[in-house]
Amino acid sequence: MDAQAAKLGFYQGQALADARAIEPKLIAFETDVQEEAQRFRRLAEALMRYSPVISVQTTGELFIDITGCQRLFGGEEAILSDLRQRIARAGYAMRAAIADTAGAAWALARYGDLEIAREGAHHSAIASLPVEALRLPPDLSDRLRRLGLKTVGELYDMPRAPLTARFTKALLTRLGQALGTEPEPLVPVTPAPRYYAARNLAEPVSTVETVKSILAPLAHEIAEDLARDAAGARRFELALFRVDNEVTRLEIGASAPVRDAAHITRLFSNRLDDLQDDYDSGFGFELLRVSAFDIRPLAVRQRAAFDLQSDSDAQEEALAELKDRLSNRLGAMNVRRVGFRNTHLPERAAFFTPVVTPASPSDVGPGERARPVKLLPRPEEIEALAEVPEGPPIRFKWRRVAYAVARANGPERIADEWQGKETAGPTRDYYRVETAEGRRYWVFREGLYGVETTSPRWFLHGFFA
Amino acid sequence: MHAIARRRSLAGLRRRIADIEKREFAGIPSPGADDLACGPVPLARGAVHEFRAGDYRDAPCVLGLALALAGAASADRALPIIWIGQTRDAFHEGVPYGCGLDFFGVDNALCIFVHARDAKAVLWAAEEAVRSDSLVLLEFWKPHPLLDLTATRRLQLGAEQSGARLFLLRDARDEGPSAARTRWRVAPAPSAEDPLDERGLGQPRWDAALEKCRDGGRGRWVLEWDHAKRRLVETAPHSRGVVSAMADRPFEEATNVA
Repeated sequence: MDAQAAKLGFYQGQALADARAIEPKLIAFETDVQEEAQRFRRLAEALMRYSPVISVQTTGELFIDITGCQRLFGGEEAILSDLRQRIARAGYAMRAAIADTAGAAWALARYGDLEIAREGAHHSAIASLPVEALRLPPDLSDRLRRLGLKTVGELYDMPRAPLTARFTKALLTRLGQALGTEPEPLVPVTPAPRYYAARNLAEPVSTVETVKSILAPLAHEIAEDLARDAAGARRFELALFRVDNEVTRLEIGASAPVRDAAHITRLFSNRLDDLQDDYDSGFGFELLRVSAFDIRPLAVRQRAAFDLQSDSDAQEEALAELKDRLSNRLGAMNVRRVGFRNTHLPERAAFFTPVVTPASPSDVGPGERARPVKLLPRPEEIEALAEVPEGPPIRFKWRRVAYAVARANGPERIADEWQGKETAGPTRDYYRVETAEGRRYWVFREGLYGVETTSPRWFLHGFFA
Repeated sequence: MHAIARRRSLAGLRRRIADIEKREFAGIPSPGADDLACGPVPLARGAVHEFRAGDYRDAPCVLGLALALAGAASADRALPIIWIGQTRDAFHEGVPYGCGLDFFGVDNALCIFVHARDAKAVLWAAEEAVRSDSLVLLEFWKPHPLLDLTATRRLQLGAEQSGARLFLLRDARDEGPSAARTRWRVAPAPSAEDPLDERGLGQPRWDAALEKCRDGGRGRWVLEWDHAKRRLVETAPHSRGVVSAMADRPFEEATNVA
């Protein structure tokens, strides 16, 4: 709804037939609610440059919590005028107001003329506004009007108890939220970080090198904040806000809480290098923000000045940093540790899991049974010849090459799991075999001869050293 | 006559140099030193050691020897083992099997398995890994121009600074030069008879030939994994006759110069 439409007498929620009565040439389109919501959310993300805490109320309405962010932009006026320009450039119209409480800001933006209510002035600023400015359900504000209570200010001095009795608790809650006596929790678009550091740049930057050079002091800042509270973070995010309202976000994870500025910088640098073609600075980035998430306690410790080798803590820390560097560059799924399941099935007994996920106490090793060093993800069928149906093979052919078996151990029988959710199929008889050259393989015969099958098949599953 | 005398004195000088280098090399005890050896040859810390497989089917065997050495190295102190390979060949070559590591005394909890997309990423990961106090297993079976003298020298320098060992596992056909401290050619050797089962397999055995060593030695040994003591032992040359055909002089002679 723009101003021109309103002037013609259109309003939101109007029936199409009524609207056509006013203007017969009206062209009607169906709104794509989802698309609209998505676009608004994207706009909201771009507006996170002002503050990491943004809460979308409905499509077309959002709160920005700029507490503590004024200095970065040079005051509330500067933020508001920057916001106005930005929204206009994006091709939208807007109304905005800044006040101590979300409720007061909403009231001023919807019904007021004042754009910035100074600290503590919101009380008087909204007094003359109509009661609708309190975000009340329509029937409630109608009843207030019928009783002659037309402005917000008239409610200030009313006794609380009768008000609650007649108009339910909603009225007092809304009034309190506007005045700041009732809490109003805002649900942010993305979780709000407790720690962050940002740089607003007068001149947009575009090269990776410049971004990196700004990154270092930001990491340092956030590291200092974390150190002050003896905390570390397991996740960091770098948000690069482009001039044209696009946001690039890079995330790094750490296996253990960290707050070492050099380490954080290095992880982000690796990620930036890895972007390559995906790195698109457009017309440049004008704001950079590093935020810390997943905050954990991390004791402040004096580093040993000498003899780093003997310091096992330092060694462990170095290993954790190495894990982080590898995981962030190659992807967490490519830097793994081994975990174990309590199962007899060889291909299920051991699995890989990202090294950044903490080990669970149930991860007990399989013991010292003879197991191959490498396993084929899928057993490969071989042509094998055994002396007796129940015995080890004496010859087999794998990948079109024939092997003569010199020695063999077995069988080790691995049966289908009786708890069996996953079916392993028929029983397997595993043999360790050694060829004449000394190559050692793990082969199995599938199916019990004479019971489960008459012509058992053979498979090669693994390689011994 | 004159020429012979000159050659003799030259040989003497060479021996003295080798002697000095060796003494200097042995004279710096690195902190937390462990005397890992492959046969009689010490595998120094802070160095790249290269193990080559003559046949692609011997890759698991070479890997096993590296694991046995890793297990022996981590027997005295907990040593992180960083295992780096390429993702590509999982279905062909198989994947590292967690259940098979305990056999060589390798602690699963200390292993990190790194998979990289390409040779460049593999080398990057190896360089990062070798700078930490750890043992790095680098599987690099497919020859690639990126793994050249410069790359191996960088790994070697990284290892020297941290005191880590890097075992570079590659194909013998990969003739590229390398800055590795020692270079081995490894093949499987038939195992001895299992005392409990006359047809059964004994402990794993390797036929390891030292092709290059900075200290000048060469030799060829049959090594066996001593599971009880968790270490590699030399076995008597078995009946098939592992002749040190490529060795121009036995390693013992080189070591006994001093």
